[in-house]
Amino acid sequence: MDDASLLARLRAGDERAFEALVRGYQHRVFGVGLRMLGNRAEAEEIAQETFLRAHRALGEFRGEARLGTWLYAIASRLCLDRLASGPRRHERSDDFALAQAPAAGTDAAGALERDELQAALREAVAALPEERRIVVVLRDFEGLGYEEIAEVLGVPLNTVRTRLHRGRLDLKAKLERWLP
Amino acid sequence: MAAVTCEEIRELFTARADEALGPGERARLDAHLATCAECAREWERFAGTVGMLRAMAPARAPAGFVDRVLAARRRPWYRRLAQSLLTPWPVKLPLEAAAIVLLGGLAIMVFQRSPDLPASIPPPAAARREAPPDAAAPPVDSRRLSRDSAGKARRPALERGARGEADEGRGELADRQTTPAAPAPAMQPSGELRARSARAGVQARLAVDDAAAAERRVRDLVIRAGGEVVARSDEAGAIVLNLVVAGDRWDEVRRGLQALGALRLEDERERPDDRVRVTLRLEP
Repeated sequence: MDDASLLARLRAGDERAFEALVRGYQHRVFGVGLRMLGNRAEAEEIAQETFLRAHRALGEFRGEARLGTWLYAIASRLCLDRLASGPRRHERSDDFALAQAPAAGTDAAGALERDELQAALREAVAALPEERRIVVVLRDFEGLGYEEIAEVLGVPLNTVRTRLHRGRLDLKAKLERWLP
Repeated sequence: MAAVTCEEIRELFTARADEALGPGERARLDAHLATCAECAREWERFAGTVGMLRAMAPARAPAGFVDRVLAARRRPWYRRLAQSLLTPWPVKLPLEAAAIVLLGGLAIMVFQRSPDLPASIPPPAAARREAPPDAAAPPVDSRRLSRDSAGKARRPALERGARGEADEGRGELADRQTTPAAPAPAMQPSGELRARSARAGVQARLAVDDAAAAERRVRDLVIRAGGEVVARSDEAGAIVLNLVVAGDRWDEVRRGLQALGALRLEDERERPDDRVRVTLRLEP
């Protein structure tokens, strides 16, 4: 279902359209919360609030941006507000796992190394300043383009580029021992 | 062509990783990397960092999430507000932790008191299979967001960003596309683990006629030897592969590589007995 027809059904109060919206974007919205907050319970709370706010604000949404962009904008703002409210507790999470499962027969040393790398990645991302972290999350985890990130965050394009570059440099410095 | 400094070149790394450089800058970057070993090495490390980020599995919302959102939407707003005020997350987390401990304790008790149970449990699977990747993120939309609720919600940050980040955009080089290919094909996981190895191993160059064809044959070679290609990147016309193979299969792989083209081992450091990590450049 394309954005326009989904939006029309949402505005008509179609309950199944809202379910389709949540089902279609749940992982992406949750992913932003998890990468930003490092905590599944908080990420779920943020994701749920994102969809409830979107539902309440449907009348104000003029449809000039994509629904996904709009949801990312709400989720990002909620995360940044939550981060501004106090220190966080990051937890270990398999959602930071690398995309490929270990090959059959992988030895214990390999598995340990993989775990260490995942932990290093998780810690490095968590240590990024928030305004750089959100750009890295949207670009490298969610795959958004620069312009869409600028729309989501309401910042100039050059700011997106600069924050992304600095964020990646920060990560490179943190992940030194894993690089050739 | 005007001379550029290493610092200027390294400012282009992010755009290069996102395939967002214009042809002029791309040529300038590649020409510099071909002559500056230090920048070439920095680029390799930068690209490796981005590759590792993109190799991370997409996050998955927990089971039952959709149902919980739908149920929450049906609750009146004042009940949702009361619930969120009465049970903020710092309270909920200890409750969840207590529940997990309780369930864990019960499970251990049941396990210990059932003598036949341990024998009936199969050994754990050798590999944990990841969830399938989520649908692709929506493509870039050049239109601006309307002043919707999200706009209202983010306004403070927008103002903060405008004040605090005003200088961040300076110093950007021109001649750059505004929208990167999303995501950059050369940096995508494409089903492979992109982790860089913890310890340096073998640095090798393989001169070939057709780098793309050679890559396919190298992959076959590595898979046949029970190893894996853990990372891949494009660098100044070359394809760089990071391989991991078992120590006792390395000689076999090396002979296979020599059959593909002129192999030059540049840095074969002391390697662990169990596995060999190889950074292999395929150069036309």
